[in-house]
Amino acid sequence: MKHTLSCLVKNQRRVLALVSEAFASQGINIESLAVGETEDTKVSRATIVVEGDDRTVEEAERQCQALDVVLELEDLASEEFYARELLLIKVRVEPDTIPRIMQVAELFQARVIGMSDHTITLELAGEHRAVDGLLKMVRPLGIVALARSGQIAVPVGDEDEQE
Amino acid sequence: MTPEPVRTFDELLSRARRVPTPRMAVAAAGEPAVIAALADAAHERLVRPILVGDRDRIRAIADDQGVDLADVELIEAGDPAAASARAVKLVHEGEAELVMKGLVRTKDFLRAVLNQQFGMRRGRPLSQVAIFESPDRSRLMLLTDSGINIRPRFGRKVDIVRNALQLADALGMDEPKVAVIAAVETVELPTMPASLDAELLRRMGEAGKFGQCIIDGPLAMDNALDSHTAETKGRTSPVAGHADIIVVPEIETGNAVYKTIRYIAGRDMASIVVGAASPVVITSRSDSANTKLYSIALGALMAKPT
Repeated sequence: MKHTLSCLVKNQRRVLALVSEAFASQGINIESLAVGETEDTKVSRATIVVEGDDRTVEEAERQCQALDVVLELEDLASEEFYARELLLIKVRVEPDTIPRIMQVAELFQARVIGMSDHTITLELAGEHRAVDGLLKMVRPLGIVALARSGQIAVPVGDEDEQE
Repeated sequence: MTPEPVRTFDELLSRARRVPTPRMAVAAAGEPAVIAALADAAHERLVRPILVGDRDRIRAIADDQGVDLADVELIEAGDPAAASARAVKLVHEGEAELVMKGLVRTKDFLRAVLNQQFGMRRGRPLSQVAIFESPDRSRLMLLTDSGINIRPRFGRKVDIVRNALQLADALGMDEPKVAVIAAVETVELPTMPASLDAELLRRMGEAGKFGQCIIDGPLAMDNALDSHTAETKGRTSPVAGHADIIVVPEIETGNAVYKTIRYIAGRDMASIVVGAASPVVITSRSDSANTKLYSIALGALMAKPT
């Protein structure tokens, strides 16, 4: 089962290595990992997407929570959350495929952010499924390069008061 | 043999007179300006009108204007929506070759035109094309879309260009030059998406996706209209200064350009809705008598005789 974890960590070096090790030690592959500062610059939020059976993931979560650098860890699978991912994709462009590329961009509300003689670059910020959907539709047209940010997520509703 | 292109409104009238006179169904014809325009059009032998609407009201207006309806078919329809449906059905059933909007809201009229059962759909979206004489009055120029598509996305712009080319063909233009308008000559992203659409349309044109035509863009309006300006700016293009078709990015630009030509330059205009199975004439009550007449002539020229 897929788990989306929201992890508040101290904004200091080696934190990612320690967190990654907690999952690696359980044989869990991290599918995506996105980290950025929060409203408190001393604290970063890591959104980690992993695939694994519940017990193994829970064990890895316990190891993470035991780390001094981890302030809080939530498995968002058990609650509602807003999740988005950023995709940048460069697609090969030919006169025949122009209408199709633009149609897909419009369908997914992706923005065209760049254009050259042979490629067109799209930006999409959306749910994981939307990113996958767009990729599926442009793949036959010829993907020249792509980068995904990995998911970022926050829980729906008010955050609990932090100490 | 390819006919000579229609270069002026006078030529448009004479060319439209030479085609077999089409039957034009007029939806909700009970409006003085519409009756006057139809009287002019019938006098010019452009169309044979079929008037759909409140027959008593139509007759009363005609009497007031001294218009003889003895040879004109009148069809009763209770309200504007019913009149639109009836007029469109006449075209659908082959009883008329084109349709014109009378005193009915445009959206109600277009709803009938696009009706799945009895409408005039052809699988291509509708767009409005306006025409006017070039500044030196040496040729007709087309402007699109100033009336139907509000903020067309790229795919719709492809159809808008195709519709304009269809009209250009009816006007005898051999290899029309199409200027796709933006505010700049280069692709500016993400701030000016119209410049991207223009560039992509140019590439498709270059690859022959629109048939026999030359498409250039993005072009600012000055470069589209004036070759010296284009040269000064280092923008060389066979379209610059010689544009036959001006494609604007959205309706606000189209509407403003249309009205600027009409009210500041004081030029006559005509317009037609293209994309349906048969021509659709939509004029506004504020349009001049000439605009109405020329618009009907455009419709007549595009109508396919049965």
